[in-house]
Amino acid sequence: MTIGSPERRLETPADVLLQIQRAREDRSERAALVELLHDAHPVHQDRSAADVLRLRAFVMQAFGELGLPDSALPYVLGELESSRHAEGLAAAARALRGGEPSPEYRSVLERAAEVARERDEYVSFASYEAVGSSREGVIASAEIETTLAWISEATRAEPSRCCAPPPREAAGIRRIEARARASAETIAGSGLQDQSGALLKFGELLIGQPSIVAFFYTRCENPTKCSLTMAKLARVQALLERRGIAANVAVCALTYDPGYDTPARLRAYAAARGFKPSEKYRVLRAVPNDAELSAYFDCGVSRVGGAVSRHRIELFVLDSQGRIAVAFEQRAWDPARVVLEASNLLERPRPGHGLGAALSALALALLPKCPLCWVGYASAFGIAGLETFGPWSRPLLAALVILSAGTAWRRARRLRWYLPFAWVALGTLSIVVGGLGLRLEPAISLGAVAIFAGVVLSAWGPRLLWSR
Amino acid sequence: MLIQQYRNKVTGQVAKARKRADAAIRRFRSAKLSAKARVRALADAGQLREERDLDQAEQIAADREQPAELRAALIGQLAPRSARRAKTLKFLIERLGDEGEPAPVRAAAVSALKSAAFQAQGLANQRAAYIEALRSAADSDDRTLRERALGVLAREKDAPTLRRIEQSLRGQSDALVSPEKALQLLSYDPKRNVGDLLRDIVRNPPSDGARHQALRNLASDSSSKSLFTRLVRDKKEEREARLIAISALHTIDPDGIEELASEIASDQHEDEEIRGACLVAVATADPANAHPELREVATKLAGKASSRAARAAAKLYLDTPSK
Repeated sequence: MTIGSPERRLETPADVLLQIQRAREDRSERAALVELLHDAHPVHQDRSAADVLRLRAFVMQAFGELGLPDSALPYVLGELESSRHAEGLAAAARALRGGEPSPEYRSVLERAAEVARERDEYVSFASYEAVGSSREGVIASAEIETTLAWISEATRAEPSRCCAPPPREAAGIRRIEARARASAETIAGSGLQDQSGALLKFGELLIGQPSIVAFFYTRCENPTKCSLTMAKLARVQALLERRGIAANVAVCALTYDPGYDTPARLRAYAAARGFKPSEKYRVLRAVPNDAELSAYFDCGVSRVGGAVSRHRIELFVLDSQGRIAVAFEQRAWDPARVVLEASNLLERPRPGHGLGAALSALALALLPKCPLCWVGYASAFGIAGLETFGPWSRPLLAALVILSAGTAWRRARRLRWYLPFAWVALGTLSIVVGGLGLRLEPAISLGAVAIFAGVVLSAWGPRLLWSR
Repeated sequence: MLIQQYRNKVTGQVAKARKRADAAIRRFRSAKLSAKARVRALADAGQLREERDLDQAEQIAADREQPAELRAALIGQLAPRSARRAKTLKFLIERLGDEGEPAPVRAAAVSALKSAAFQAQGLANQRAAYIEALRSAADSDDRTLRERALGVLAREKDAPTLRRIEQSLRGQSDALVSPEKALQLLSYDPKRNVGDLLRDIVRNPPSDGARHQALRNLASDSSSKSLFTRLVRDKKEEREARLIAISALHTIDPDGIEELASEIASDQHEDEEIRGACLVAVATADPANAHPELREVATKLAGKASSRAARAAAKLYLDTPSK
């Protein structure tokens, strides 16, 4: 993650307070405050979870006064959705009032209010060290009620002008265009160990087909984060099965805590939440450590003494090259939406795709190859065999079948589906060896049929298989 | 004895107890009795059930003229009522937070409210006031009240409280409780950055109890694996520390503990209880792989060990099915 220029590195709470002051004077300084909400920010490392919570809450509530940038919305809404701390909930509710009201925030706020009532306490943001009390402070549920009232007031006061839908960033979904996706080459060789103890590489499991990767750890105490994540991954499995694409999408849960989360613990945690491991579905830890993977995914996690302190909710949809295509960050994610994003990444025959193979098949189709065609052409020209078309027809035929085979091979590798290529290879051998070499007439016909069948299967087979 | 006879016996006992309790309640209701007598009567009465008795209990508990001992006993009676009656809940929280109330009354309120917090409704809508009252009680000069309040706050992972406790252990503020107690309270929040503090206490402990608690607190820290391995192997180390270390390694190194524990369990020159604990570690690390060669070791220990704990541990190992 970017953390600002060296002279503006925020490393201590005092730096953070100074930055808040700067932002009061110059709104453009709010961007650095938004960065502080990222759990992986250096200022949060080796800090107690309670201290991280306090620091983030203090920054977040400042947006109530400074104005809430769109980029901070996923953090604020994510906090309301998943926090079980009065401080975090109060700060997020206050921050929301720094932006534009939207009735779409109501349901999130109402659920947060229920949690706040169970965990309520007085909180104070009068100063960083302030401890809330009835004399100086607010209770979280009251802060949330204030924000709900603010939304109601806005919708009532100017119903025609209120309220624009929340900005796109609020959803916490980041989509990355194919050309902008970072290469996964750096982590293709990263070591993983699954719930059965099997060792494998990132590339073996997560390159070659679209995949879904979610982060969790077994010692997470927040039921709305890791435990729910695993249960929702089980739901993702079920949805993939229902769509008939379970064999084409890998689903992985990766732990933030590889030192503690042994295969036995991973197995038990997944089983208790309905996630069913298999060849394509694994619960994993990085070995020997998770430094590379953490960096690649820019994981939103802070650590204290090597253990996880705080983390965000995060799930990634990777394309077939293992590159991050869609990131669900901060907010609770919908299993159906995740499955949709993954299925969109499955190979589809595009216009022009397989054109080379189709053209060569077409060209091949024009050459006489079936016994009746030979009879027809032979009778027309009076000579049986390829010499009908002159001496160039053999090399041309050989070149076409080789071109066809090469195209089919490339496509088979991409799809990791080799049946069509097998047909093409068989047909190629039949034509080249049997037909052109041994001059067996039926071999050319049969070979052409096999090649044509293979090409058609390669070009249109996936669509037929995955259209359900 | 036949079932019916047994049933009759128990029914008779219950009826006698009921009679005694009713008599005790009648004594409690009598305002003529001394406070001490009424407190004794309450102890015999069990839990007050009738609303009129609970009303009277609340009235007396609110009366500052009444002896603190009686008021404290009556506050204890109000716990179930506070779970269903917001007014009683509020009353208890106010007693807890009132610095002018005697310590026994406030301490009784802590206990009664702890019980109420477990009810389904919990502290609906009054939690903020409850936490504030607890924080106030945590500043009391009375040790019992202070420890009770701090205990509840620590279990609630109250950040300001845990910060104070940590600061007191670091010598940055006055001690609120003994170091051992402070460490025990800190253990409720395993995500505190206190690894350095704990290791320092292990090296330079103010007391044996504090050292043991510091080791227990480190038991969830994967980076302490080498510390615990060293402790387990060191025969000169005190037994309690080694036992804690074996337990810790079972948590943070379940794959590695088997080999180490097998080695120590087989060592006939090793402390019996340590050997027993190692047998249990092997048996529970992966029961399906319980080492058959250790069965002989366990058999001898189960029969001949002078320590009861060692015999029990060996028996547990023998009872674990092996592959």
